[in-house]
Amino acid sequence: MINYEKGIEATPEEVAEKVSKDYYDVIIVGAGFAGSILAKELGKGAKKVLILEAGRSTSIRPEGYDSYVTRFQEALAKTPNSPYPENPNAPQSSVLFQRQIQAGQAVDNGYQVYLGPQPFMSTFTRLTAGTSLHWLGTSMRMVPSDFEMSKRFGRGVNWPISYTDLQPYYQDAEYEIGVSADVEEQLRDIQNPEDKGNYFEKGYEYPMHQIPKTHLDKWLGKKLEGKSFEMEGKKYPMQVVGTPQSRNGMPNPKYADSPYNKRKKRGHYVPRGGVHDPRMGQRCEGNTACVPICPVMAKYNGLKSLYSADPEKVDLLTQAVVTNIEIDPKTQQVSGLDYTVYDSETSAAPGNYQKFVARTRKGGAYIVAAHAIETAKLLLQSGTPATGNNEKCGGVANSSDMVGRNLMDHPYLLTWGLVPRGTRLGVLRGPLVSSEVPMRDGAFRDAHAAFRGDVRNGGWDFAAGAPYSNVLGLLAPGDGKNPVLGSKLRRQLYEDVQRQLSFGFEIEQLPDPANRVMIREEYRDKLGAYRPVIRYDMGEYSIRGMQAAKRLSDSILKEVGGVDHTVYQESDTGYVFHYEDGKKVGYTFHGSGHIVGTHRMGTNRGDSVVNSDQQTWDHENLYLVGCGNFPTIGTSNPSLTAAALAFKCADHLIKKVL
Amino acid sequence: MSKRYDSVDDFVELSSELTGFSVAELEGTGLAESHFTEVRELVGERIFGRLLITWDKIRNESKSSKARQTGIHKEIFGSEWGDLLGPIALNIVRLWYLGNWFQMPREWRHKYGAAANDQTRVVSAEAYREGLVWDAICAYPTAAKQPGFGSWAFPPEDPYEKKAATSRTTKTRARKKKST
Ligand SMILES: Cc1cc2nc3c(=O)[nH]c(=O)nc-3n(C[C@H](O)[C@H](O)[C@H](O)COP(=O)(O)OP(=O)(O)OC[C@H]3O[C@@H](n4cnc5c(N)ncnc54)[C@H](O)[C@@H]3O)c2cc1C
Ligand code: SF4
Repeated sequence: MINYEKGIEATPEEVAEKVSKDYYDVIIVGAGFAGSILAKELGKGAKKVLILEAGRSTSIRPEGYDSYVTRFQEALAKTPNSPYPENPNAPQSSVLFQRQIQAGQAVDNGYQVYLGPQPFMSTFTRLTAGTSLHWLGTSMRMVPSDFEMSKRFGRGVNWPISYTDLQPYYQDAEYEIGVSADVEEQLRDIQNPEDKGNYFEKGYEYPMHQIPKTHLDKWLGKKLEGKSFEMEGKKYPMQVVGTPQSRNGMPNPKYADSPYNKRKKRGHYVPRGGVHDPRMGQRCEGNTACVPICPVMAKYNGLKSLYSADPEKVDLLTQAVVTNIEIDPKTQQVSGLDYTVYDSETSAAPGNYQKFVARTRKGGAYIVAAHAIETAKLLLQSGTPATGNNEKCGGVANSSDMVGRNLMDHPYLLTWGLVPRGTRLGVLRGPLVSSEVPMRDGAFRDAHAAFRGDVRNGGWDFAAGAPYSNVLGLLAPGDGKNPVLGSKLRRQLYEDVQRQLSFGFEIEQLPDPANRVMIREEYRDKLGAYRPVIRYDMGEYSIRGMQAAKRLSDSILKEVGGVDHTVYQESDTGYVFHYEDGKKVGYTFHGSGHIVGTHRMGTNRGDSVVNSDQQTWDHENLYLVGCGNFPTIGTSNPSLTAAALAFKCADHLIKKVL
Repeated sequence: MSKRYDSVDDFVELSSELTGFSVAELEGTGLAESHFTEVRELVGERIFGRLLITWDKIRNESKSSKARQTGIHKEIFGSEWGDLLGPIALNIVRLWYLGNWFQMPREWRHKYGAAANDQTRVVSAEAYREGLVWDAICAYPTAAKQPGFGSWAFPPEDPYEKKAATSRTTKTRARKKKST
């Protein structure tokens, strides 16, 4: 076990001294999902690394991490950010501040400012390990067609790299974040035979076997066997496929002999448990709490990479908010990062701030990995801040005017129904999601969004607040009298909850430059840094995807003899509509937390912010890493791909730059 | 000497009838005492006493569980005391099932006053973890009491059928004994 006392944490004084001696090869902004992996890899490559992290270090210590778990249990509104205390010096977004937006009236009572027409429904966290603390852990690769949306379907743009370019790095990522999955099942929804043949390296296996499917997954799988679903005149199988997950399962003995693992000269895969107590979390124990925090750390989080980073090479400075990227006007290279260190007692009080500049040695590199929204915001507020309401560029790395634009998420469409009386689905057991019904790939993508339907193990938890709502409902029935009490209440709860079936569809969204993160003079946080101002809309391509997803849900419910209970109301936050055969039909979307696109990768400096090495076109020694680099979103949860890109960037830096 | 109606036992017995969990199950959560104190402090001793006196009456007048249930609906929810006692009884169920205290209805607060602490909240992390709802639905609280790797792959147990099944096995065994 690594003793955190001797770990990678550094003090502001130590860092200042090392900076004055031109010590660091690389400085990374953000110790989140991508930043942690980058730091570890660069450290392994013998580079001297400094990470500046805006959030507190609480999660690094066992007591601190546990306090998050308790805080969640005590929270009345168990939202994704409920374990993580508000920090006015490094504020974060919260679902509690999302509202419908009336024309022209910004919703600005939370950290993020929503301009509309739709609220942006996803959130992130700012603390050590970043949003990886409360992510769900779903980790499938993207499919090859996702990289060629324009070429194959005439929609969106192509990536400057192909699936094949990224494939080796996917293997690195799957090792580092520990993915449990089944190779054969992952191939099932890939339509093009050539794509299928090249999806995995021959002989590849995931480090761990697929997490056992829940009783519900298996029940549904049997019911749907041999059934198909038609889209744009073509039939696709309705199948229940195991979801790749970054949570510990049974190690796959065949992994040791896979060509990849042999090249790396590694032996059998050993799951990495909790960083504070490695005996814990060796296997997922079924807390059903992956979002917002896994009590035993069976789920990957950035702490695992930070703890295994070389403490001789990597320094982590927390409570250090980077506020400006300095550019040398002559060389157009980054000459330093301005950051503010706040003390730990400053929640409400004015606070004690110290200002510093961090510089690498000559020829070093700067990497911003502060999350798709914060990275874009930091670029926009640096140099001459791009605060104007006009469309003129400003900020740093923004000659293309693409910084902050093409913001995408997976709008998350919930559907819910009840299966026949007497059925026992085994609701609220196991990881929140362990299987899906995928419609990720196919010719229909020229007409509407692709999507994946999570089979939700939590029943109507997200859709209707089960099981709380069930208790409250039975105690206060419609007539206000005659509450259901005693053994009747107990039994009725069981019967009702066991019949709850619900799907959560991740719907693809296209890049639209008008969907964007901006900054405005009037919106600042306590430190004086800008707050993200977001303009966001849905687009017909996605709404038509929602239409198809709802139709799929209806078909599934029909197959299992269930009844749909889904309701979308015009008063819902996230309500969008379009016309189906001349009739107005609406859908309500939520956020997935899959925030991408805001500093996209491309083939030329005119239409993108970074090249395929994730180096900014405008400043040679400035790199951006994270989901903001994605030109399109596909249907995969983005973090595995972001991790693969982090490996690619580290590889490039070690081999070619530093 | 007149009997006092402020014992934890009375409270747990009433709770048992309201929640459908046995006295032993409720005691097993380790929360009987703290839930008792919580409710007493929130609604005040006098009103709390009124609830327990009413419960004592129901208990004395009813021979079966069914009669007690009818008694509860009649005396606690339906009588002249209904608007005073009903909301408290419901809140006791919510407290045991969810670990949450819900602020008393506005009308109730206006009429009978309310403690400063009468706010909707999770009373403690422990109360959340021990919430009965999870047992009732054969699951376990999110972020606690994890059942172990792969347990979810099997069909959920059915405690209600299980009771029937055990009694059936006992019977079968008894019968078998006879035949040998
Ligand atoms: C509820 C939820 C569920 C999710 N589930 C999944 C899932 O199942 N699968 C999946 O693939 N993805 C999932 N995601 C998305 C995933 O969490 C993100 O894609 C991922 O964490 C992004 O990594 P990142 O390194 O870019 O950002 P982060 O992990 O957020 O890290 C950024 C870091 O930068 C720091 N920082 C920010 N600003 C500054 C600054 N100015 N100076 C210094 N430091 C700064 C932050 O404090 C943070 O530590 C989910 C997200 C949410 C919200
Ligand atoms: S189900 Fe539980 S143990 Fe497993 S990863 Fe999620 S929170 Fe952790």
